[in-house]
Amino acid sequence: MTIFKIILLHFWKFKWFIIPLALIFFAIAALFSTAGGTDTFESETLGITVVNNSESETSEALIQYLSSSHEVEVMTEPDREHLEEQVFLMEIHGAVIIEENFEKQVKNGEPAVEIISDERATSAVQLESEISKFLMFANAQFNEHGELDKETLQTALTDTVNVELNNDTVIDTDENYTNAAAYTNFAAYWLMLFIMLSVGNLMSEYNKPELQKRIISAPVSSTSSALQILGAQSLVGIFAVLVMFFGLIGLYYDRLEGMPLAHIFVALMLIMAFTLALQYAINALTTNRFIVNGLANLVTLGLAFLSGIFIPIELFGDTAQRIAEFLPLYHFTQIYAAADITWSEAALSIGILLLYTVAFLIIGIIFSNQRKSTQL
Amino acid sequence: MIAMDKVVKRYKDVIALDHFSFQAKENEIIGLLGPNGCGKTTAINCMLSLLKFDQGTIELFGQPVNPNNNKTKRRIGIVPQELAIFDKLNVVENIDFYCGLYVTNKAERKQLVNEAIAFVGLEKYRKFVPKQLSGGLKRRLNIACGIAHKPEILFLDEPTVAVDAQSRNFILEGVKKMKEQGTTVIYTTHYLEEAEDLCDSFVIMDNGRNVANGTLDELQKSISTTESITVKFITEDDTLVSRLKQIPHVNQVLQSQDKYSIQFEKNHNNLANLIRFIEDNSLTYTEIASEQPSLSSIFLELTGKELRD
Repeated sequence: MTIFKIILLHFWKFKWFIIPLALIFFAIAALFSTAGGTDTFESETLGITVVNNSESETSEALIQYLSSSHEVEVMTEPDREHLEEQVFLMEIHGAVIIEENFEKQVKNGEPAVEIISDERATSAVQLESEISKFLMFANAQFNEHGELDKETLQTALTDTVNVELNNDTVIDTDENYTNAAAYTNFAAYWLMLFIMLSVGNLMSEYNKPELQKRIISAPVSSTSSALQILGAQSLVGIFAVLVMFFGLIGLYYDRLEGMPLAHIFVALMLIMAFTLALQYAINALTTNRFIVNGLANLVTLGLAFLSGIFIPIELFGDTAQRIAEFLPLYHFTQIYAAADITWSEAALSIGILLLYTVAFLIIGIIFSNQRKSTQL
Repeated sequence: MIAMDKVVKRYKDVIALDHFSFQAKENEIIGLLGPNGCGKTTAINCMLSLLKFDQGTIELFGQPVNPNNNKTKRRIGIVPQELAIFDKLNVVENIDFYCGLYVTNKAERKQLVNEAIAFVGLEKYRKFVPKQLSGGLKRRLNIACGIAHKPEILFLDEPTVAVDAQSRNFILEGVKKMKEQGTTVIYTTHYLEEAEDLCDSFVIMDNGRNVANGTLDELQKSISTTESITVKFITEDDTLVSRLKQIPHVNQVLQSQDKYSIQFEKNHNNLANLIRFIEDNSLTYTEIASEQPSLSSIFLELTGKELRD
C-alpha cells in the first residue's frame, strides 16, 4: 500500500491549490443559487404599427384593445420591408398585419394576424401574448354568442385579479431542475479541471524516468503498482464527486423537488472516471508539466464550451451542435437532460461515456507500454 | 553474488554490451570504470532486470535475473546517477516511501529510515523538501533512499557527480562503512583517483567490453607499463615531450604544466636512463619520483583514452 499512500500524500500536498479552487467553485455556485431564484417581468408601453386590411368590427376591437395600453399607429397601405426595417432599427416594438378575412379566421380559430417583431426582445413576447389573449377571448365570444360584444370583450381583456403568493409553499420543479442542471454542468467543468491539474501534475512527477527506475527495480509487481495508483486516484475522485454532489444538496436543500439526483450522481461519477482515463492517456504521452497543465485547461475549457456546459448548445450553429453530439461532456449533460428522465432514456449517454473511458484507458495502456519499452 | 557471463545487449545496430562478463564476490566494492557510453549503465540496468538482454546469462545470489523475482529484488538497492527523489516530499517522506517498497512493517521501517538519515548525516534536515537542500545534501538524500532497506548488493551510479568536497568525502566514507556492514557495492564513476581509493577491485569497460578486471595489483601486473616516473622541469621546451619519448623503453609521456609523467616498460633500468637523458640535455628539475602505475595510466594503456571528469 506504499504507492497508494504516497499518491494520497501527494494529493494532500496540493491542498493549498485544491481548497481555494473548491471555495471559488462554491462561491460561484452560491451566487447562481441566490440570483437564479426570482425572475421578474414588467409589462411596458409598446410602440406598435397596425396594418388593418380587414376594416371589420373585430379588427377595430383589436386596435382599440392594443391602443388602451400602447401607442398604436394604424396604416392601411402596408410596406412590409419598411415595417421590418423599423422593427430592426427599434423605432417600433412590433407591427401587426391584420388579414383581410380576419373576422372569419377569428371565428374559426385560425391564424388571423401576422406579427413582425424582434424575437430576441421581451417586448415580442408581450405583444404576442396580448394578441393571443385577444384572439382567444374573441373566439370564445363568437362561439358562445355568435357575435362580438366589444364592451364585454374589452372588460374581460382588461379585468385583473389580485393573487397572493405564498413563497413558502411555491414549488417550482422546473426552476429546481434548471438550477440543478446549471450547478452540475459547472461541477463537471470543475471536476475535470481539478482532476486533470492535480492528477496530471502528480503523475508527471511520479512517471519521471529516474523515479520509475527505482520503483520498477523494487519488489512491487507492475499490476500491484497500477492498482494502487488507480485506487488512490479513484478515492480522491470519488471524494471530489461527493463534495460536488452534497454541495448541490446543501445549496438547494429546500428546493430538491424536480432534481434528478440519482442521475446527477451517476453522471458525476462517470465524468470523474472518464477524466481519470483521459489524464492517464495524457500522462502516458508526456511527463512535461507545462504540457500537462496546458492540456488540462485546453481540454476542459474546450469540451465545456463545445458541449454546452457554459452556453446552451441550442445557441450554436448546426455544425457545432452536430460536433457536440460526439463529445463526452455532451453525453454527460444528457444523463440528467430532464427532471423526469428515466434510466432507459439516459442509458445511451451512460454507455457512450463508459466507452469513452475504456477507449482512453486502452490508449493510455498502449502509450504507457511504448514509453516503458523505450525508457528501459 | 553477481555473475554476468557473455552478456550481449543491442540497441538496434549499436552494441551496448559486447559479450560482457564479470563476477562480484560478497562484501567487496567493485569499481565499474569506463568512458561515457561504454555500457556501464546498460550493464547495471541488465543486472537490475530493468533491461532485457539479447544473449548471455546474469545471476544474482545464484538465481537468474527475472523482473518478477521479488525475493531477489528485495536484497538489492539502487542509487541512480540522476536524483530520484520526489520534489514535493520532505526528507523523511522520500526515504520512507522507497523503504516502504521493500519493508512493509511500519515500526521496522521507521527504525530503518532513522538509521538511513543518520547514515547520510541529514538529521538536521528531516522536514526539508529537496528544493531547500544543497546539491550535495540532495545527493545524500538520493543515497539514503537507496540504502534505507539495507540491501546486500548496492548499485551506486556516479554518486559523487557535481558534489562539493565535503559531501563527496561523506559519501565515500559512507560507502566504506556499508562494505564494513557486509554490503557488496557496484560503484561506477569517472573519478579514477576516487575509485582507486575506494574500490577493492575494478572492471574496466570500453565499447561494451570488459577490457580488464581485477585488483589494482593484478591490473598493474597485467599491463606492460610497470613504472611511472614523474619529473617537474624548470625548463620550458615545446619539444620536450617528443624528446622524452626517445628515451629507451618509454611507452607514454603525459604533460601537465611543468609536470611530466613518463610511463616505462617493465624490467629496465628506467630511472638511470632518465637521469642520463636529463644530464645530456642540461635540463633543470625540481622533483623526480618513481611510482607504480596508477589506475589512470592503466586505463590509458588499456583503452588508449583518458577518463576525464
